[in-house]
Amino acid sequence: MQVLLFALLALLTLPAQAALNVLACEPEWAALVRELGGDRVAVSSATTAAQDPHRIEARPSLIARARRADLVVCTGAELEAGWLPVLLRESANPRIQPGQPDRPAVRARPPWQRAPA
Amino acid sequence: MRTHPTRLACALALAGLFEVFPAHANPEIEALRAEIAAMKRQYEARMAELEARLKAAEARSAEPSRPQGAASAAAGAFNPEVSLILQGRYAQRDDREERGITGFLPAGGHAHGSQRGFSVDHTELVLSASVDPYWRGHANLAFIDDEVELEEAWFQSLGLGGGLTLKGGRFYSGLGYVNEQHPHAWDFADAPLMYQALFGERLRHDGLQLRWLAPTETFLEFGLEAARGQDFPGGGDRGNQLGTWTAFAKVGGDLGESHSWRLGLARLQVRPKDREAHWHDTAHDEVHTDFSGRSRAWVADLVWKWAPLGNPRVTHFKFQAEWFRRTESGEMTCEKGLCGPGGVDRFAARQSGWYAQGVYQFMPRWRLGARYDRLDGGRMDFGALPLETYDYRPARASLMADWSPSEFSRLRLQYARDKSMRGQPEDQWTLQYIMSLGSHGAHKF
Repeated sequence: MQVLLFALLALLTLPAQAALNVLACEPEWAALVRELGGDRVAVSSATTAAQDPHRIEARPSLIARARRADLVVCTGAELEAGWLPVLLRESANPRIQPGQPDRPAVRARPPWQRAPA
Repeated sequence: MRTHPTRLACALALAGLFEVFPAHANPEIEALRAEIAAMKRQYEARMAELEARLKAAEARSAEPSRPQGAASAAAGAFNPEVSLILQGRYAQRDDREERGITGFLPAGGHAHGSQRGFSVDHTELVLSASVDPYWRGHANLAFIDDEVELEEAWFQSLGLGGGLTLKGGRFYSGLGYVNEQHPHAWDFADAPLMYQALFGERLRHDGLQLRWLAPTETFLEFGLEAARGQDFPGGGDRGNQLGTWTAFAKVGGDLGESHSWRLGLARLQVRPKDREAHWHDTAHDEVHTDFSGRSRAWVADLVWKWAPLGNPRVTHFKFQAEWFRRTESGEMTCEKGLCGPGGVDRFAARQSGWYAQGVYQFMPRWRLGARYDRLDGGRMDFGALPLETYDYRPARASLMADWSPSEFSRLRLQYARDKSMRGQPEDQWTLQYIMSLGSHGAHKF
C-alpha cells in the first residue's frame, strides 16, 4: 500500500513530458496505473493472468525490467514474498527500494534530467 | 389488639389478585415483555446459526492445511528476519578410509554429508535484513556438533545507483550457477563433482564484489571480485596481497511466455602460496605436497527453465549445465615417501569437467531429477618429482525424487552410481530431509 501511495503521489506531481517507467506486480495494478497515468506512464506487469503471483521466480528478464523502473506497484501482504524481495535487491535500483524517508518516486527523476517535451 | 378475620381474608385476596394478574394493571410492562420474548427468539436463532457454523469450521480444520500463512506472517513480525534450516540424511556408502576424486588434488575443507548412516548436516541459522534503504546485511551461522562456523557475513548496497551493487565481507562468489546456492536449495543431495574438484564444495571469499547491471531489455550483468583467497584453490598467507580475482558476465532473458534462460561465463585467478595437499608417489605411498604459483579457471554455466505459460505451480522443468577448465602452474615441493626429506620442481596441470542435470515437477509437490557428472584428469606434470599421475576420467550418474509438502519442507531420495575413485565404483543411496523454520528468504533464479 505504501508503494501504491507513492505511485499516486508521483502521478499527481508528474510533469507533462516525463513518461514514468512503472513495473506493476499484477495486471490489476498495471491497469489502474494505466488508467490514472494515461500516456504519461509506460507500464508493464511482472505477471500475467495465467500465472500465480505467489509462485513465479525473479527471472533475469524481470530483474532487467526492475533495473529500469522508476516505480514498482505491488500488492504486498506477502503475496509476492517469493520473488519481489530478490527483484528489488538484485535490481541495483535506488529508486524502487522500500523504506526511503524522502518519497523515492517523486525523487525519481530530478527536473534537470527530464527530457524536454 | 385482635385482627378481624374478614379483613385479613380481603387483604390476602387483593394481594392474590395483583399476584395473578399484574400485567393487566400496566400495558407498558406488557410491551416490554413482548419485546424481551422477541429478542429471545432472535438470539436463539442466531445462536443456533453460529453453532452450526462453528461445527462446520471444526470439521474443516480437521483437514490438513499448509502452514504457509503462519510461516510467512512471521517475516513481517521480526527484524532481522530469522530462519533456521534443519537438514539431515541417511546415507548408505561403502566403508572407505579416505575419499577423494582420482587425479585431482584434494580440495581440503569440509564437504556436506560425507558421513555414513544417519547424520545431521549443517544446521544453519540465517539472519538478514535491510539495514536502511541503502544497505542490506546477512549472516549465516552453521552449527556442526560443538562447532559454529561463520559461513557467511556480508553487507550489500541497495542504492548506489547507476546499476552498481557493492558487496563486502564473507560471501560465496557469483561465478557459475550452483556456487551461490545454499545446500538446502540444491536439486540434489550433494554438490556436482566439478564443484567438489574445483573448490571442495563452493568458492567462498573474504573480500569485495562489485556488480554492474546494464540498463538493457535483456538481462546483462558484469561482476568483479577481489578477495583474500584463503580457501582452495587458494591457500596460505599472502599478507597484504590479494589472493583471488574473479570476473564474471551473465546474460539472460525470456523466450516467449513459457521459457526463461541465463548464460554465464567466469574467470577465476588465484595465487596460492604453500597450498598443502596429500598425494601419492609412484610407489603408491602417501606423500605431503606444497604448491605455490597460479591457478586459473574458466567456468561457464547455462540454466533453462520451462513452465507452461510461465506458471510453475503445477508442472515445470529446469535444465542446468556447467563446465570448467583449470590451469595450474608453479612450484611444487614434496616430502616423505620417495620424495625423501624434500624435493622441489615445477608443476603444471590442465584439467576440465562438466555436469548436466534436469529436474521435472510432474505434479504439484513431486519432482524427479537426473544428473550426469564427468571430469577429465587431463595432464599433470610434476617435472622430476616421483609423483603418480593418473589417466582417468571420474564420472557419476545420479537420480533423485523429492516430495515437498510445502515451500518449507522437502524429503528426498537419491541414488548415485559414483565412479569418482578409480577401480572403486560405488552405489550410493541417500535419504534426506530439509526443513526451513521461520521466515525463509526468497531464492534467486
